[in-house]
Amino acid sequence: MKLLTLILENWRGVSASHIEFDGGVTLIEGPNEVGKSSLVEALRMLFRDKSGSKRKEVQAVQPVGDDVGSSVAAEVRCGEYHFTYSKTYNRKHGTELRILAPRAEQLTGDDAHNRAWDILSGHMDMALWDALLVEQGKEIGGVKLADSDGLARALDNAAGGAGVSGEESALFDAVQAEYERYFTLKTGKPRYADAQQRVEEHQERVQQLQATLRELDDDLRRFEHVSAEISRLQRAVPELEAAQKQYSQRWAAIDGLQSRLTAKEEEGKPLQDLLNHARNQWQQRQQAAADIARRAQELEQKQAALQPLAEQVAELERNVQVGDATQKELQTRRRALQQALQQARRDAAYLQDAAELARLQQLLARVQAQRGELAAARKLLEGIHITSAGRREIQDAASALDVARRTRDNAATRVRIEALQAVDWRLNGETLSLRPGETLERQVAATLQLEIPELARISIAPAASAGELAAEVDARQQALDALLAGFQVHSVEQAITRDEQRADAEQTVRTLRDRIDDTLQGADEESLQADCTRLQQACDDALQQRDPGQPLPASTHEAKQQLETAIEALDACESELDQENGRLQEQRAELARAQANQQQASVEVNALASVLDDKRSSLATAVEAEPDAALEQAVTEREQQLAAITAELEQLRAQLAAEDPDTVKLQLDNASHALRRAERDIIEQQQEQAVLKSRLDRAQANGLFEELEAAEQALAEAEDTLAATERRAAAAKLLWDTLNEHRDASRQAYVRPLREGIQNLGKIVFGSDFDITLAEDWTILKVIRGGLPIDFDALSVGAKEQLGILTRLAAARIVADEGGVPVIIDDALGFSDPSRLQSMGAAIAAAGRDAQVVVLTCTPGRFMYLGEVGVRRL
Amino acid sequence: MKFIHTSDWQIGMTRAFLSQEAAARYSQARIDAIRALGELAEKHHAKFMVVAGDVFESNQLSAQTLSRALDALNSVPVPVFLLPGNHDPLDASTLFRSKAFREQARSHIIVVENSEPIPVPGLLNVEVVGAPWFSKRPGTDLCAQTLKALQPAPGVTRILLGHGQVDSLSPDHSQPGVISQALLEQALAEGRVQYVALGDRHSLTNVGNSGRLCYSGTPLVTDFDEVEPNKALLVELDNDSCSLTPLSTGIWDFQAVQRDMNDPEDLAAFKQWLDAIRGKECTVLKVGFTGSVNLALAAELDALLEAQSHVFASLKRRERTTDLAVIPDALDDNAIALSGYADATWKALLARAATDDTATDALRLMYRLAGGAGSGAKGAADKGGRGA
Repeated sequence: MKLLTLILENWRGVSASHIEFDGGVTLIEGPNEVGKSSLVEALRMLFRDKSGSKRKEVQAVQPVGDDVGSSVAAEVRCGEYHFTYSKTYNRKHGTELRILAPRAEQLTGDDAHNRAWDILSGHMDMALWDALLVEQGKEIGGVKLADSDGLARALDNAAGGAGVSGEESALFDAVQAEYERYFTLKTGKPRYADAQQRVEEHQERVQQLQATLRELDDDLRRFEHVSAEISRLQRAVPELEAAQKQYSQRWAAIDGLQSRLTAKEEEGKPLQDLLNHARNQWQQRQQAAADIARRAQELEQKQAALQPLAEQVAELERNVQVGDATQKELQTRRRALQQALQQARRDAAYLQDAAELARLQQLLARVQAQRGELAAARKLLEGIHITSAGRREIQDAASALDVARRTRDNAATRVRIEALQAVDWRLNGETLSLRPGETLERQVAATLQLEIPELARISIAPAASAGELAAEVDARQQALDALLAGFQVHSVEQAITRDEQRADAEQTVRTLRDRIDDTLQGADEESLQADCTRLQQACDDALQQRDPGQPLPASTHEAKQQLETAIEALDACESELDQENGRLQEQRAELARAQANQQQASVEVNALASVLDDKRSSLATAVEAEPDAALEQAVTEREQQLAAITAELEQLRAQLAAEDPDTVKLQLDNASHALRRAERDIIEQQQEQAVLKSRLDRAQANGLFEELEAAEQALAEAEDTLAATERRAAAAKLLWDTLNEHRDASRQAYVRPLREGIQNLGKIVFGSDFDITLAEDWTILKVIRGGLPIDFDALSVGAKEQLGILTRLAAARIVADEGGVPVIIDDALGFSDPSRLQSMGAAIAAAGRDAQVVVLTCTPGRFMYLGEVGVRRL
Repeated sequence: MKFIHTSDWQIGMTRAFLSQEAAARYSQARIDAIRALGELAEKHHAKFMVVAGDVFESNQLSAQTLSRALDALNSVPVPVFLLPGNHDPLDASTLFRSKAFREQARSHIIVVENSEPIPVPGLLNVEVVGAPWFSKRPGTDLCAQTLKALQPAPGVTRILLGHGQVDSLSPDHSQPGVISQALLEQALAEGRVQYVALGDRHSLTNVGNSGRLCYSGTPLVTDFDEVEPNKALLVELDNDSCSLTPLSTGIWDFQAVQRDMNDPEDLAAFKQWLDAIRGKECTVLKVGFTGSVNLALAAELDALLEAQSHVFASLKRRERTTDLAVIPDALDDNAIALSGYADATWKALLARAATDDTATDALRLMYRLAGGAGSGAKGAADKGGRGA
C-alpha cells in the first residue's frame, strides 16, 4: 500500500490540513499541537473504525466547543486498486469510498467500509500495519512482528520455504493442548503422577495382603508339622518307657552285687584291725629292744666325749690367769707414766710462769723509772705559776710601761752633763763618777738634785706636765710589778723563761704518761703487780715441790718435748692395756662356754643313763608278761584269716565288672532323659499347637482372600490405566517435541532474512561490526558490537528506539515487494545524539528507496540529515 | 435314583480383568448358580447333590460371602454333600468347621470330613464316601486311601466323591496327590462303588470308558480355556445302568479370540461378529489382532473397541497375541493436509514409526488432531483476518 494524500478537517485542533506523501520518505514538520499526531490517529481510525462508531476515542476527536463533524480523507494505492477513502465522524458522520482503478466504483456507508477493509486486508498485513505505526509516546523499543502472517510469508519466501499454509498454528495449538493434558508446559513434569501413585498404592496393598496370607499359610504348615510331631512323640513315648524299664532292671541286679561286695568289705575291716594290732605289738617289742641298744651306744659315746671337754676347760683357765698377770703389770706401768706426765706438765708450767714473771718484772721496773721522771716534771711544774696567758699580760704591761716611759722621757727636760774633769757627783743622792769627756744625760721627770760636790747643788725641777707623765709611768710600773708579783716572777724575762719552762714540763708530763700507757699496754699496774706476786709464788711452790735430784729442763722447748714424749708413752701403754683387757674378756667368755658345755654334757650323760635303766627294766617286765614268740604267732594267724576274705572280695568285684555298671548307668540315665524330653516336647508342641490354633481361628472368616483378589483387580485396573496413559503421554510428548523441533528449525530459517535486513540498516547507524541475534518470535535478543554481545534490555533507551525503528524499516523493506506497508514514525529519536541522528537519517533514507516512510517531527533539526526526502510543513 | 454331581463352585473367586461392576455381578452369579442347581434338582427329581471339592475358592473368605453361599445352600431342597478340596481343605483354618458355618448351615448340608461312608438321608442303602483334602498338599492319592479303607457292603449303592487330577489327564504324574484312574476303574468294576464323582477339572469330562467316572466341571465359567463349563451332571443310577445328563447352570461366557485385521472389510466383519454376541453384559472377550492397518483403520478400530467395551462385561485386546502393524499410507496423507513444519514433523515421525511404536502412536495422535478421517476430532480452528 502506498499513501498518496491525507486530508483532515475539524480534527481535534486542526481545522484543515492537507498532506501529500512521497513514494519514499516524507518528512512532516510542524510545531507542537499543530496536529501531527492527529494525522497518524486519523489514518489509523480511517482504516479501523466505522464512521458511526461511538467509541470514546472516536468521540474525542471532535474539536472542543465546535459542534461539527471531524473528517479524514486519504488517497491510497493498494495493489491494482487506486481509491480515495473518506470518513466523517461524530456530527453528520458518513463514509465514502471512491475507487478510481482498476474499475471506477463508488460506495458509501458500511459497504464502503467493508469494501475498503477487504481491499486493504487483502493486500496488506494489518498486523504489520499496526506494528509499523510508531505512534508518539508509545514505547518504541520492542516490536512484535511474530503475529504478522504477511511478514512470515515474506520471510518464508526470502528463506526459500515451501510455503506457509497458516494451518500450522492451529495444529500446533491442538498438539500443545494434548501435550498439556499429560505434562506441564513449562517444566515438562508429568501430570499423571496420581495414576502412578495409585498403582504403587495398590501394589503395596497387594504385597501386604500376600504377605499376610503367606503368614497364614506358614501358620497352617506349622500347625500341620506340629500336629505330626505331637503324634510322633506320643507314639515314641511307650518305646522310651520300655527301654527305661529294661535298664532299670539291669541296674537293680548290679545294685545287689554292689551291696554284697560292700558287706564283705565290712566283714574284712575288723580282721584287718586285729592284724594291724598284732603287727603293732610285735613291732613295738622289736623296736623297744632296738631302742635300748641304740641308747646304750649313745650313752657310751657321750661319756667318752666328757674328758676332752674337761681338758679344754683347764687350758682355758690357765690362759685367763696369764692374762690377769699381764693386765696388772700394764696397769702399774700406766701409773708410772701418768706420774711422769704430770711432772712434765708441771715443769712446763713452771718454765712458762718464770718467763712470764721475768717479763712482768722488767715491765714494772720500766714503769717505775718513767714514773720517777714524771714526778720530777710535775715537781717542776709546781714551782711555776706563770701561765701563757699571764706571760702575755706581763708582756703587755711591760710594753705599756715602756710606752709610758718613752712618752715621759720625750716630754721631760733633758739634762746633759758632761764631765770636764773627773768629778764625782751626786745626783739625787746617788754618786756618779764621770771621767772627763764623759757625759751623762738625764731627763728631768722629777725634781732633780744634782750636787756637785764642793761646787754646787743644783736643783732642776721639771715642768708641771712632766709630773703627770711620770705618774703614768709609775702607774704602769705598779701594774707591772703587781703582775710580776702575782705570778711570782721578778722580771719580764723571767716570766718568759718560766713560761717556756712550764710548757716544756707539760710536754714532758704528757710524753711520759703516753710512754707508761705504752709500756702497760692497757694493763693495770696493780694487777700486774698481783700477777707478779702470784707467779713468784707459783714458781717458788714449783721449785719447792720438785724433786731436787731431777734436773729442770733447760728450756720450754725441751719441756714441751718431754711432755709429748710422756703423753705418747702413756697412750701406747693404755692401748696395750685395752687390747689385753679385750683378750682377757674373750678368754673368760670362752672359758664360761666351755664350762657350760662340760656341765651340759655331764647332765645329758646322767639323764641318758637314767632313761636307759628305765627302758631296760620295762622291757624286762614286758617280756616276762608276753614272750616274743607269742607275739609273732598272733601276727601269722591274723594274716591267714584276712587272705581268705580278700579272695572272696576279688571274686565279687570280678562279677560286678562283668555286669558293666557304668554303661548300664549311662543307658539308664539316657533313657530317662529321652523319656523326659519327649514328654516335655509333647507339652511344648501342644502349647504351640494351641497358639497356632487360636491364631488360625482368629483368621477365620476375615475375608483376606477376597481382599487380595479385590486388591489385585484394582491393581490390574490401575496398571492398565497407567499403561494407557503413559502410552498416550509418550505419543503426545514425542509429537510435541518433534513438532517444536521442526517449528524452531523453520523459524530459524525465517529469522535469517530479517536479521540480515536489520543488520544492513544497523551497520549504517552502529558501524560495520554491528550484528544481532533474533529470537524465534523475531524480537531482538542481543546486539553484537565489536564481537561483544549485549542483551537488548541492557541497551540505552536511545539505542532501543533506534533499533526499534530499524527493525520496522527492515520489516517494511521485506514486505515491500508484496504491496508493502508504510512505516510511520511519529516524533521519535528524541534520545539520539547528532551523530546517531545523522546515521539514522541515512538508514531511513536507504529504507525509503524500497518502502514508504512517513516521519513526523516537531524538531526539524533531528531529521536534517535525511537526504532524499519530501518535506511538508504544517 | 437320581442325584446331581457338581463341583468347583469356587465361591469367592473374582477375576482381575473384570471391572468392579462386572466383578460384583460375576460373584453374584456364583451364588445364583447354587440356587439354579437347587431348582434343577427339584425339576429333575434328584434325591441329593454331591459337590466334589472346591466349594469355596479359599478358606479365607469374608463372613458376607460365606453367609450368602450358605443362604443359597440352605435353599437347596435336597441333601447336599460338600467335599473339601484343594482350595478349601479341611485344615486348621477350614471354613467347614468355622462358627459361622456350623451355626448357619442347615442339617441337609453334609460336610464329608473323613473316609467313612455316609448314608444319604431319606434313602435306603445309598451311601456317599468321600476323600476329603486335609491340606493343600496331600502326600498321597486320597481316593486310593479311601477305597483301601472301605469295607465291602453288598447291596449298598456307593458314590465315591474325589477331588484332584486323575493320572491319565494330569500333566504331572509325579505329583503325590494325583488320583490313579486304574484304581477307580477297578473299584467300579468290582462294584465297590457305583459312581465316582470327581472335581477339580472345570470342564465337564467323562474319564475312561466306564461311563461312571466323571468330572462335572464348574457351574460357572472361571477361565478362557475351559471346555464346556457352566454345567452340572444329572446322574441316574438304576440297577446296572448309569445315565448322565449334562445340565446348564450359567450364562457367563469367557472367550479368547484372534482376528485378522487388514482392511475395512475385516473391521466390518469384526463389528458384525461383536454385534451378534448375545448376553454381552455377561461376556468376557479377549481379542488378539494380527495384520497391518493404516492410521485411519487403526483409529476406527480404536473407536470401535472403545465404544463396545462399555457394553461387554470385559472387552480387552490380547496384548500377548496382538501383532497389528499400524502403517500410515497415502490415504492417510490425503486425509489430512499438512504443510510447513507440520509436514516436516509428520515425515520425521513416519521415518521412526517402522521401529518405534511410540512414533506410531504420535502419528495416530497427529492424524487425529489434524482432523484425519475416522478420528472424529474437530478440524483446525480457522483464524480470522488472514490473507488468502
